[in-house]
Amino acid sequence: MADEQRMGAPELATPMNPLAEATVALVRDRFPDGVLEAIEHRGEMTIVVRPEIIAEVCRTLRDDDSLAYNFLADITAVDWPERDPRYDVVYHLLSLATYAVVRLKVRVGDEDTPDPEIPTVTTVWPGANWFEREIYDLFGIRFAGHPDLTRIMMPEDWVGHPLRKDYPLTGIHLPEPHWGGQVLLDQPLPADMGRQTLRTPDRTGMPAADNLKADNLKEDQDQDQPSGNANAPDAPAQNDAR
Amino acid sequence: MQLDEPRTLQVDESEQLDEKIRRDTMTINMGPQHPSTHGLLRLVLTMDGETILKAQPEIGYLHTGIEKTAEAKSYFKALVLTDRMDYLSPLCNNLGYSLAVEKLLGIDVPEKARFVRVVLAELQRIANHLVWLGSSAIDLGAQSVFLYCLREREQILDIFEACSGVRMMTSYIMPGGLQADIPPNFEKLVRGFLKIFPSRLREYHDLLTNNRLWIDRTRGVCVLPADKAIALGCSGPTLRGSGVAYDVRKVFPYGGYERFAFEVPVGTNGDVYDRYLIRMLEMRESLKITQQAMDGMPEGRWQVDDPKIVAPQKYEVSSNMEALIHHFKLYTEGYRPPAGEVYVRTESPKGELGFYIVSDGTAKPYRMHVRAPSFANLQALPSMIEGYLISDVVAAIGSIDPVLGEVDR
Repeated sequence: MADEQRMGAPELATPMNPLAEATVALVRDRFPDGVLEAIEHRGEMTIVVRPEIIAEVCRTLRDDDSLAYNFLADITAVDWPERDPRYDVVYHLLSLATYAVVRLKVRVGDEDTPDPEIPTVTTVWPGANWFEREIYDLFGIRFAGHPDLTRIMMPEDWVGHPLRKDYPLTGIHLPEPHWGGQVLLDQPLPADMGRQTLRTPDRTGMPAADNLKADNLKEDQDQDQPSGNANAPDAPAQNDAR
Repeated sequence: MQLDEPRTLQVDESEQLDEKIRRDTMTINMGPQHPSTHGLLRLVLTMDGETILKAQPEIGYLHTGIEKTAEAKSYFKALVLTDRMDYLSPLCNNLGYSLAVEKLLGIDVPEKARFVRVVLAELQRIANHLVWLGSSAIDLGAQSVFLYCLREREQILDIFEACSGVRMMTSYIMPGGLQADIPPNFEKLVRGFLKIFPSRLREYHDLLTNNRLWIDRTRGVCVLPADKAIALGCSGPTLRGSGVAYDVRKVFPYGGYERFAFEVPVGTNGDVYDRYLIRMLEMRESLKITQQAMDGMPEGRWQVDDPKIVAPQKYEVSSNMEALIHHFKLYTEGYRPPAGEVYVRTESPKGELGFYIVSDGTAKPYRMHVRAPSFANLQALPSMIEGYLISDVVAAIGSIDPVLGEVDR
């Protein structure tokens, strides 16, 4: 990582460097082939390990007496669409016994596996549950062995994973007036669209991959298409059966 | 659910009745529109009579995509998003974000800015705890506390308004220091508050701490053991109530906290009452810190002396070509921290607030992830309430003090 010469702010740097070194030594010792690199940046130690052993590494760090990383502060992910492997999954560990901190990172996903899978760490810390659900929801990374891998932020029938970089910032095309649901423009807009809700069964299970491209986002088209009787509240009720 | 038709019980059925009642659980929805859930929190409760067998929190009703939005804003503009996460303690969010960006930039703010930040963050902690105290008391039926608490909170909001012009979404603490110098009457306002608040705090103690009704509703209720609290990633008063003395201000001092003498209250039982007492005692400690910071407040700049990071003053812009260029560049483009990643943890009133920011060397954060304390704390709610009565649920939610804006982000 670049530009080390501007480093200042000594009190902002994590003061636990000996413990970070010890952590790296421990992980390298137990998993000689598993550690890809160990980077220190701004006083924070990052250990990059192979994705398949992440749960084992976490368990080792938790159960080690001298370090005792018993507190999982955070899990998150970063999407690098141009890179292969595409995603970083980032774990922030803390020890409430020694106050050691470390960041673990795994790199997953490539062109063949758009929805990669890594082992869950809920078996190590039950608190990982919601963090992993959030990553699954917003990035589409699956966690093998997770007790309840469902969406947590978005509705259950949502298509796509919003925090991926190829998901448009403004969301997928939302004609006005909308109920906050998704309307995928590759499909012809139904006449009764104004009556659709987020839970309308027709909306589920649509092929989604092609619709997530940013070029679907034609700001001008949506204003007129759903107009007419679609959103008139007293229009004849065509889909009462729903 | 469908109700059975009323019918007369047959004699041979009566033996099975006990067993049937035991198996006959009921699933009810609490929220998302419920006054005691402190926002849009939905709980799916499986009940056996009044006892909770299983609880499942459903979140996401307030998901606003703040992390996604931040990726499209410059560092300067992403600041205002942080106000809106934990909207009861925006200044603490500002502080966490600013520290993270400053760490990315590798800069350090002047002394005065640090002291003012500490004063404001601690006042914000008191304001947050006042809202928590009032609303969790009103949930358990103590109506009058709410009015007193909001009276004192108004005074704190007046201080924020004097500083920033805004009462809640202040964005006053920013990367590089403060948005503006503190107003001339800042000291008078803060000292005025410091003078009256100790007696007000005693009033709250008089109203609740030894109140028989309050103790009956909170002591021994919704116990969270320490090992569970740690495993579930709880932090802040929720963790300290269970007896774990983890306060980021003590363990990883940031922004000058290492200079102030204060104590970290720790509970023993991990029940609602302990979490209540911890927040009450924290308010006293916050007062201590504020007092020390006001006494030691230095003179000087309130921002870094770097026009590439903070905008020049208005009078300079209208008289100095260079200042005008800096002003223009800063507001149109922003600054570019070197590529890298930082995770900065701070102690927000709810617990450990972590900002994980990845920079790719451009003017916008490549990724901003917020480790929201309420998000992790709320995960512990089922462990707290399972086995207790439905009336204890509001006590437990109140004792976690979640803000759903932060949970869902």
